[in-house]
Amino acid sequence: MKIAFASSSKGGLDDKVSDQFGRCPTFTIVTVENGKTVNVVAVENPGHKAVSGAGIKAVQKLIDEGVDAVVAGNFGPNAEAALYEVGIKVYVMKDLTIKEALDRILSEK
Amino acid sequence: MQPNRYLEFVVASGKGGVGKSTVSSTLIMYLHRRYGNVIALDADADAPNLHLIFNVAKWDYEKPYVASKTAYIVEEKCVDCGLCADVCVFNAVKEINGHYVIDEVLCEGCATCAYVCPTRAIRLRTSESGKVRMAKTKYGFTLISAELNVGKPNTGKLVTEEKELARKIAKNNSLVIVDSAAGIGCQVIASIAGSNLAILVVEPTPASFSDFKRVHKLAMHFRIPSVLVVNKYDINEGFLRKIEEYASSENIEILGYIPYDDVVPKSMTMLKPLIEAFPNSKASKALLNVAKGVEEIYVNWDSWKTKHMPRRYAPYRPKIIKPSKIY
Amino acid sequence: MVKIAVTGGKGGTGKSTLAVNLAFLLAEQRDLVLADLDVEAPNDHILLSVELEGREEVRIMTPIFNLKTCIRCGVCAYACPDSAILLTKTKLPVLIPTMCSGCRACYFACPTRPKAVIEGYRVVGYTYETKVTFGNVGFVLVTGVLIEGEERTYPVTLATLRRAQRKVRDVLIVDTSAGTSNSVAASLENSDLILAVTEPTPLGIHDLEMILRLSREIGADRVWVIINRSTIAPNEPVIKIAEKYEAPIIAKVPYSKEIVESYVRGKPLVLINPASTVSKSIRDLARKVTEVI
Repeated sequence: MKIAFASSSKGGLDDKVSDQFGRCPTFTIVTVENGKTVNVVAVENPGHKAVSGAGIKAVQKLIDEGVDAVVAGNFGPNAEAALYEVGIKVYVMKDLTIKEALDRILSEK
Repeated sequence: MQPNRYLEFVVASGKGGVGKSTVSSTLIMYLHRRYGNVIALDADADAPNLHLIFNVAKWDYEKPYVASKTAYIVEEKCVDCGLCADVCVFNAVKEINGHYVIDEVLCEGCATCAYVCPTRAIRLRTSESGKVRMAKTKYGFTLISAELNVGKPNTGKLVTEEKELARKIAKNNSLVIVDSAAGIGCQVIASIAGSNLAILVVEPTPASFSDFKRVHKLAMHFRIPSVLVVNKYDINEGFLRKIEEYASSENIEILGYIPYDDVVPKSMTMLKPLIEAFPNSKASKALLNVAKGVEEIYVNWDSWKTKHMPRRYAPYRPKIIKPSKIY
Repeated sequence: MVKIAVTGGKGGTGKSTLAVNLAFLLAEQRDLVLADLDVEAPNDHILLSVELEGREEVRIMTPIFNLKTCIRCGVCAYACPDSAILLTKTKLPVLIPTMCSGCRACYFACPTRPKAVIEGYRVVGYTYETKVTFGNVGFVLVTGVLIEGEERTYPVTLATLRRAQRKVRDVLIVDTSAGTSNSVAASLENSDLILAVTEPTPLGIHDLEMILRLSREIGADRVWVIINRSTIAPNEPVIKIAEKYEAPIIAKVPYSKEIVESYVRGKPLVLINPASTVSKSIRDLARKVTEVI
């Protein structure tokens, strides 16, 4: 499965999970197979500099990337509603690096 | 010690005229004096007023906010069929002597009329719907404010633009104090979204109480903890109990009680924040206590927040009803 | 039908209090409907201590996508002015209902036949119709309430206004929301008389100017200004603005704690304390209103 992490700066496992979903600069997308990390990529978030509808633009990006779950510190109500409608699982996590957040999700399973 | 992070506190009330701006202007003045890191944000684009309280004479930065589109009919192409008027759900197409015109004040720019027009006589144009502005006040902090042109749909986007501007000029330890718009509509949702703490202002009247509860639910929706300030508590002490009962059942801390005081409207006519104009008045003293309460929360932010997270509130999901017959 | 709008720009200037008292006084002689159009925070029924009755739904069109006929072209998402439609990886449209304004652009834009956009609806608010009686004086209160979580006031305001207009035979008083948005503009439309309530503070004056500008823009021909809490500060700045827009100042209502008392008791002040100075100035205003209608 693919998990996207809202990232505070340029993305990557050492970056921090962003407090903002819709307006974070990048998403770090981690592909996990059988509990193992097989691929890590950082993609730009089109919502970062959007005038309006940032959350929705971010969701559209995640759909296009084929993501199954997403992690951020906060989700706006519209973004949360959109993620619910398209069936992307939402995790709220704050003040963690992406690696720590990933470990937490993997240990849950 | 102030926390080394960007925080945003929003002052909201639902009902207008209950003292929201008096509370927020006090917090801005007090916390800026103490920490020098405050950015004031007036989110009430419908009726902005912090620039009046802080006596801003001119703006250092002004940016037109072009968002709303409105439709217009190209007369030469129009055959007066009236289809546009039939489909407009906003009642914005008016018939005058058999001809159709679009009322730009009512038009939401959805372009539905343009899709149905058989002669393609309807076009869209963008118009300036407001302004986002910024100024350094004489008290040393920056004020971000917005103003909506009359008759333009109120929008959360304008508030989001203001918040974006605040983030741009902020340092990583800035404290943004947002004076929310009134009501519970999209501009209030935008005011509250992304904030860390909701400071709710209520006065002991049934109308204010019912509005306060609605805004509180909104804050819960965003998982934002709330604290409460009771303004003009002495105008109706019998009603206080109801507010207190609700606050204690919802784990909302009451930060203070402000008495009714004639100096409040007087300070407004002087274009000064109350604690500057009448520092020794009973209202100022009570407000300063509230500000100290907020400061207490601010300096202990991380531990305070974990203790005061609101309960999980089921998100609103509208039910969509299908027509009985599908062709 | 005569339409009187009570408005004022700023919140908390006493619009609802004035509307309720005026409704009571005019209802002594006329057949009257009072419409509470402040749908985000309707208060008139609280001031009158009545339970709302006669609930009707306010529906707005909400698209449902027929996946059998959808050709996955993505035009609906492109047409949506509110970016309320997302496209899945296979270009199937998905709606985020709370963002949809019900404008039907997607329905008309959909190029397939039969259309893949089906017109469903959702409830965004309610309107109510409540009988209000005090002794032998009675009138009908029509109230609009926006559902919590819904963002768009305009459809509910419009539905409330329409219900009130269907009901009214003689006099309609509308109590608008604060501000100068298009909901307020729609509330003010076709008014025979606009009463702009303000207070003599810079904020009140600022907002009064906005509402006078809006009144001018929608072509209102009779606008009167009422200074509420007139005793808290000098009135000259209000007078200056009113003159600029050629709107006469028709009444000054002094500040008084009696108003609060009437809140608590849930009855119009003119009824429970007819001899007070506030009641007198409102009654004086009602007389002037009666003369022109």
